[in-house]
Amino acid sequence: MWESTQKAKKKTSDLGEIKEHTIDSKKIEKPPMEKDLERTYSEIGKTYKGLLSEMGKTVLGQEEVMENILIAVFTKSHALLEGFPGLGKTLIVKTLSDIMDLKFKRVQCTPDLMPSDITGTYVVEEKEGKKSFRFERGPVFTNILLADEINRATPKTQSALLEAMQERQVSVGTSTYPLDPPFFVLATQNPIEMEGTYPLPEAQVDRFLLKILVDYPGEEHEEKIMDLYSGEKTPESRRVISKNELLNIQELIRKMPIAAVIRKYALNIVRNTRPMDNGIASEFLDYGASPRASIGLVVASKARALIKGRDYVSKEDIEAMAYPILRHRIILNFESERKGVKPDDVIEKIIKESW
Amino acid sequence: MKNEIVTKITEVDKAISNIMVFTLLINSVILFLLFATVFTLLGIDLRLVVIIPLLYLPFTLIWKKMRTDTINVVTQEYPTLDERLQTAYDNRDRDNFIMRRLNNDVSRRMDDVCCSSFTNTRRLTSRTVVAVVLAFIFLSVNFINLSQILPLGDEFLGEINTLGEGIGINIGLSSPSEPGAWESSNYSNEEEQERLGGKAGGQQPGINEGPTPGQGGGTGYTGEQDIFGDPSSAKIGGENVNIEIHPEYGGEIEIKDVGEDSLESDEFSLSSVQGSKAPEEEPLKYEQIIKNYFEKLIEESE
Repeated sequence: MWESTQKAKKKTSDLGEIKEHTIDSKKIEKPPMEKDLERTYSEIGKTYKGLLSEMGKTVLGQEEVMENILIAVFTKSHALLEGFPGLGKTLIVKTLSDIMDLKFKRVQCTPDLMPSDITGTYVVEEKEGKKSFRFERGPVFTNILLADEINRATPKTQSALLEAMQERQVSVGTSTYPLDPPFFVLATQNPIEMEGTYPLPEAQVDRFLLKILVDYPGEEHEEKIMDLYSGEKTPESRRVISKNELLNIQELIRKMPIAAVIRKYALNIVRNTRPMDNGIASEFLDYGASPRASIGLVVASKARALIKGRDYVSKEDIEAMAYPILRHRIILNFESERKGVKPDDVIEKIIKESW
Repeated sequence: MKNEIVTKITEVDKAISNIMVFTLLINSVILFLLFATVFTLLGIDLRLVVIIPLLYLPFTLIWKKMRTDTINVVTQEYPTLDERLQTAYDNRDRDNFIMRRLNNDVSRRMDDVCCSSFTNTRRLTSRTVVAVVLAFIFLSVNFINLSQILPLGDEFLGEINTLGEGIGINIGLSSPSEPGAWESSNYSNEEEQERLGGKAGGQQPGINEGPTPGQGGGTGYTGEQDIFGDPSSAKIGGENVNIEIHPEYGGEIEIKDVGEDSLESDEFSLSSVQGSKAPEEEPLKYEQIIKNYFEKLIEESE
């Protein structure tokens, strides 16, 4: 259904395409059949293993990163990848788009990047002697958007992503164009080069469900990477799941049950990041996480439980997801920064305090 | 399937409640025996002891029932059920294929749950042993009047008595020295007092013996003088004289070591007979002797 829809779209004019696209997205948003969902659910373990194994062909030693990116994708959310250059951030995202049969676009952010470079703009088109405006869609009209080195873009350009990320639509002039689901923004940022960068505003950072830290691979893995990318053949990934299957998985996550005590635990963790009462937060933090973090923690934990093959959310899921969900949402106070305290250290203390 | 989880939880809940009631009953018995023993030692009315388990049992039962979370109890014993059971129970109103699968899994695991695993055998055994030991102590205390052995001061017991009077209860507590005090009040000197016990079988009244012969045995001393005065003494000429009444004359009398000669001898002896039966039943031949005896007494007193 999806392939035929895409073909049909290509044949139409740009304006017509957008109109048709709106109709198609409505079709897609129809709830999937219970039978399909059940089938996807019964095969989720196999699917997840297939995804990891296929990604593992090109990306080595980054299992946790891959798991977190998949969680972000399964929860219809966005992720911010932070790591030193050359660790394979872009490669991971590219591989992900390949194995999921999703459209992939990449934007290399620079200080002179304009908002219209991301969202698209109107261009004058002459047809049969008549001039008219035609909307030229930007790279945001895709399934996976990789915003490389997002902190190099100006705040104005960064803000152009806000609407797309939150509302999954783009407003240009007086028109609003919905984005084709699924839509994810996977942004990367470099933590060492601060010159000529514009740190993401809190409001925008909050829109990323996860902040995933990409670390150096182990020695064993690095050795394999050397062999893999210095040989004759460059590894390639094949498609593992279709777009529909991905949408089914996204639907499944919402159906995952969670125990009241586990939900309360998640809530306690998020609330304990707010330095209102005496506690760890007041000692180390200036600002805590928003209710969006509470929602994100539960949803991400549900996704983790699902890919781990469980029918229920475990305490372990909450604890594992607390780090990528909270680390960019808590703001350390001056004293903590002076002492070199890391957000993950504070989160660890808060987790212990919250059970 | 949804109801199956709830049904199984309800079954476990009933079993846990039964175990709880049983444990509390044992606790109540222990409490009863403990307080009964203490109250007996202090001589406080035993009816008061019943109040303690009667208050303890319902209040503790309600409090424990309110605090007991069946799911928690089950998951503590069966950690593999922990989050599964919690989730299945919390989402019992939801119905989708994930829930159905979870319920199936939990239901299968719940089949392995044994109610006996919720019983703390060690604790129950120890409490049963404590109850048996206390029962023995309580019975022993009731057979032996420990109040005469324990060094409980008069002041302490007096205060408890005052306390009892304050709440309108006659505790009836007496100090170990009280019988002696009673005795001494009726006799002019110690020799006279000791003679009485001696006649009854010893120098001092025995443990199971009342302070005076004829008073009866028992662990507690609650005797009181009646309107006829001392049961085995007579005041003649302003002096207490010990008397003996032969058993064949009826009444509750102490017969231990009572002069057998007087019972066996046909001859009337003034020294062996200090009390007498009703005058109308006396043979006439003794009339003169009795008359002479009293005349002699009057002469001596003059």
